[in-house]
Amino acid sequence: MILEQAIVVAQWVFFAYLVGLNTGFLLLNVSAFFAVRRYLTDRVLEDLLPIVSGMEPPVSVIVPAYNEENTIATSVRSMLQLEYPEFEIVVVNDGSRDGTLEALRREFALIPFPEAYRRRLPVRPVRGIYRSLRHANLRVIDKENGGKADALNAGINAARYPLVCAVDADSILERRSLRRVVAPFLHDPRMIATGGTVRVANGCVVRGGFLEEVALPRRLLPLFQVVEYLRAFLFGRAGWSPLNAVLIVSGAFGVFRREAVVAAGGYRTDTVGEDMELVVRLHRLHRLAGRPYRIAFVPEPICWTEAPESLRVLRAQRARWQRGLAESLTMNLALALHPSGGAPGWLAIPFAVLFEWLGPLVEVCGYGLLVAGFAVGLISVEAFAGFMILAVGLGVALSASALLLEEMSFHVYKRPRELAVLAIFAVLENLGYRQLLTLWRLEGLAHWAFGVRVRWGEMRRTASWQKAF
Amino acid sequence: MGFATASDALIAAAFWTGSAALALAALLIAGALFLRLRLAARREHEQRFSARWLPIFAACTEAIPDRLPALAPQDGALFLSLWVRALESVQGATRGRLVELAARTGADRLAVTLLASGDERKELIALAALGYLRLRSAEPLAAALIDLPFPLVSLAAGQMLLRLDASRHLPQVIERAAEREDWPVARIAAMLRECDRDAVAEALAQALAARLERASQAESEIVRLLQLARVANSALLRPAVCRLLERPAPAPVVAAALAALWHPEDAEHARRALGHPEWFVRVAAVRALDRVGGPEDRERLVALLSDSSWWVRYRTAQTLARLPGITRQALEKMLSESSDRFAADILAQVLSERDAR
Amino acid sequence: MARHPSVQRTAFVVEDDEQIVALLRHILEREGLSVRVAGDGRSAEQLIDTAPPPALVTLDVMLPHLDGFALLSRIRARADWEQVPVVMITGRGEEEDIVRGLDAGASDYVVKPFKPEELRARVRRLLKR
Repeated sequence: MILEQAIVVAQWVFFAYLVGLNTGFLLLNVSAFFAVRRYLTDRVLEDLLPIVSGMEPPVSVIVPAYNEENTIATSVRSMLQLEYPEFEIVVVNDGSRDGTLEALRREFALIPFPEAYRRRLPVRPVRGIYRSLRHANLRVIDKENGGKADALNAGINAARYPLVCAVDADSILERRSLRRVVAPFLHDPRMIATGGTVRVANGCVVRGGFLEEVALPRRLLPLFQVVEYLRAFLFGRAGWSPLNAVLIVSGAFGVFRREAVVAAGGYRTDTVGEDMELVVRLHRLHRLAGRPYRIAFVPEPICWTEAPESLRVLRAQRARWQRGLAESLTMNLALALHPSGGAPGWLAIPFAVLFEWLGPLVEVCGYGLLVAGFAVGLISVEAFAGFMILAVGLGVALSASALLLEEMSFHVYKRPRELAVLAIFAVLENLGYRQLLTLWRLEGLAHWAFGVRVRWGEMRRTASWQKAF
Repeated sequence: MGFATASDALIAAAFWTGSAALALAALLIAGALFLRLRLAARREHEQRFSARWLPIFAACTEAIPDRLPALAPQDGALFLSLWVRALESVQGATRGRLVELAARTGADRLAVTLLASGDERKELIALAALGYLRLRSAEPLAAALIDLPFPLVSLAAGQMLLRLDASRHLPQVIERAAEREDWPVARIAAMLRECDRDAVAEALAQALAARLERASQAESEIVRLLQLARVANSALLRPAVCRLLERPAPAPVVAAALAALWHPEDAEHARRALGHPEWFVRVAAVRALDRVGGPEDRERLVALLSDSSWWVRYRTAQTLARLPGITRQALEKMLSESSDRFAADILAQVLSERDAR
Repeated sequence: MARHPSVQRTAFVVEDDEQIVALLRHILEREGLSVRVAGDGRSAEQLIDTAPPPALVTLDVMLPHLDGFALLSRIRARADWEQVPVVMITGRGEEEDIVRGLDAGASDYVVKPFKPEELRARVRRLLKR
C-alpha cells in the first residue's frame, strides 16, 4: 500500500515536472520568436544603413590550442581572413605535447617577441611570446600546461584591444562571423558579452577552415545532435536574451569586454564549464553591485563545430557539460533569488537548477519508477502508455517548434529533402536519444557530486572536415 | 482507494496532454513544410522580379527605357529595396534617372503608403527610399516617426530627413543623437557621413555649446556628441572641444574630448592632461599627442614611459616611435640608456612591433 | 596560344552583388563584349584556371571564399593572362585596397558607388590598349 502511494506521488511529481518544464520551454519559445524577428528586422536596417567601418572596436581573438598540430595552421589561416576592420589573433599554446608550436612556427614564420607581458590575471608560467613575420596581427604565447581556462586567461593578459573573442581552435567560422557577433556591442554601450548560435559542422563542406556549404551529416548520431542544437540554441539562449538572462556563451565562439572579464577575475581554472561559469559570474557580479550591463545572444548561426560521432565521446562530452553546469550554478548560487538578482536570479537560474541541473535525476527516477512499476504490475498498461505519450509528445512538440522557428528565420539547410530529414529526426530524437543523454547527464551529475577528475582535451577530434581542404 | 481515482485522473491528464502535444507537433512540422514551400515560391518570384527590373535599372545609366513593365502594389517593398541598392551603387546623372523611373512606375507613391503599413520591415525600406525620392509630402510623416520609441524606425526616419534636406534637419537629428541612447553611435555616424562635414560640425558645435555649462549632468550626452565629432573633424568644432577641456569636467568627458582633438595648435590641452589621475584619460592624452604632438613632446613622453599603467606606457612608446624625427637609432639609444625596467620593456616591445609592420 | 577573335571579345565579371553585375553587364555589353560572370572567389578561380584569356576582367575585392587580391595574383601568374586588363572594384573607405590592388598588377580601379560614364570611359581606354 505504501509503495502504491509512493508511486502515485512520484507520478504526480513527474507529471508536474514534465508540464512545468515544457511550459517553461514554451514561454521561452515565444520569447525566442520575438527575439529572432527583432534580429531579422535589424538586419533589414543593417542592409539599408550599414554601419561604416571605423566605429567598430578592435578585437583580440584568442585561440587556445592543446595538441592541435594537424589543424592549428588551417584554423589560424582561416581566422586571419575574418572580415573585420581591426583585429589581432593571439594563439595560446597550452603546453602541447605534440608539435603545435612547431607547426605554427613553420607556417607563420614566428620570431621571439620581447613583449612587456602583464600578468593581470594569474596564469601558469609563460615560456615565450612570438610574433609572425608574415602577419603583423598574429602572436603566439607559449606557456606551461594549465588547461583551457588558464590558456584563455593568458591570452586575455596579452590582449591589446578592448574586446576579446574566445574561439576554439577547431571552431569553423564564416568571414562575417566576427562582425556579426560584435554588432551588439555597437548597439549598446553597456554590452559586456555576446555569443552566437553554434551549429553542427559534420556533413558541411569546409575549405581552408571556412564553411563553404551547409549540409546535413549522413550519420545518425550527428543528425540527432543537429536537431538538438537547433532546440538548445534557439530557445535555450535566444529565448533568454530579451530578458538579459543568457547564462551561457559557448566557449566555441564568444566576445567579451576585456575589462569586464579582468575585473571579474578571468576564467576559473577549477571547473570544466569555464565558459558558462564566467557568464553566470558576470551576471552575479554586475547584478549584486547594481551595475548596468547587457549580455546578448546573436541568433544567427555563425559558428560551426564538429560534433562527436561516437557514443563514447558523446557520453564523455555530455557528462562534462552536465558537470560544468552544476559547477557554474553552485559557484554562483548567491545570485539565485537574491533581491537584486533580476531575471537571471529569479528566472534563469532557478529554471536551470530545477530542469537542467536536477533534471536528469528527476527524469531517470521518473522513467525508472514507471518501468519498474509497470514490470511488477503496480502500474497499469494505460498509465504506462499515458506517461510515455506525455513525455514523448511534449518532447516532439518542442523539437518541432525549434524546427519551425529555424524555418521562419535562417533556413540554413537549403534542400527540401533536408527539411524532411530534420522533421523525421525531430520525432526520432525523442525515442531513445534524449533518454540516453539524460542517463549520461546523470553520470556527469554523479561525477560532480563525487568529485571525479575530468580534464580538457579529452574529446578526440576526427578532424574529418580538415581533409576536405 | 482514493489514490486510484487520483491516479486515473492523472493518467487521463497525461494521455490527453501528450496527445495534444503530439497533435501540436504535427501542426508545427506541417507549418515548417508549408513555410518552406512558400519560401521557395517567394524566392522564385523575387528572382523573376529582379531579372525583370535589374536590367532596367542598369539601362538607366544611359536613359530610362521607354516601355516599362507595370508595378503591382504588392511588389512595392521588393521594388524599393532593389531600387535603393541600385541607386546606392551609382553616382551622377544615373541617380536622377532612377528617381524619375520611380516616379514613372508609381513606386514613389507606393513608398508613402508603405510608411503607414504597420510592418516595421516595410517601413524601413520605405524610409530608405523616401530619403532619395525627395517627396516633400513625406516629410511630416517622417518627422513624426523620428520620435517613436523604436530605435530602428526612428533612426531610419532621421536618416530620411537628412537625405531630404540635411541643412534643415541636422540640428533636430543631432539633438536626438545626443539624447537617445537607443540610437547606436556607429549608426548615427554612418548617416552623418553622408552629409556635408561643415554642416555636421556646426550642428554638433551648437549641441555641445548648449551642454557646456552643465557638463556634469549631461556627461553621457556630451560623450556621444564628442564621439560623433570624429566624423566631422572640422575647424568649426575646435572652439567647443577646447572650451570643454579648459574647465573641470568628468573624466569620461575629458577622454572623449581628447579623442576629438586633431589640430596641432590644440596640443597644449593634450599635454596638460598627461598628468590626469585617471589612466584612461592619460591614454587618451597620449593618443591625442600621437596625432597633434611634435618633436618637442619627446621629453614629456619619455617620462610617461614609467607610468604605473601598462596601457599608458604602451601607447606612449608607440607614440614616441612615431614621433616625427625619431629614428630607430634614437629609440635604441633610449632603450639602452633607460634605467627603468618598465620603460625598457615597453620600448623593446614597440621596437619589435615596428619591425613587424 | 592562338587567340580566337571571338574569345578576345569576352569580359569576365567577378562580382557577388547582383546589382553591380547587372550594371557591369549592361555597360560592358554596350561596349560589344560578351559577359561571363563568376559570383564567388572559387568559381572565378576555376574560370581563371580553365578559360582562355578574356579582353577584360572586372574584379570585386570582397568576395566569398577567395578575395580579389588572391585572384589578381593568380591572373598575373598565368603567362597568357598577364596582359589582360583588370579593373578592381572596391567599396568606399577601402582606399588601402586601391594601393594594394595597383601594386599587385591591377590596370585600373573603380570605387563604389561609381559613375557609370566614368567606368565606361575607363573600359574603353583599356580595350584600346
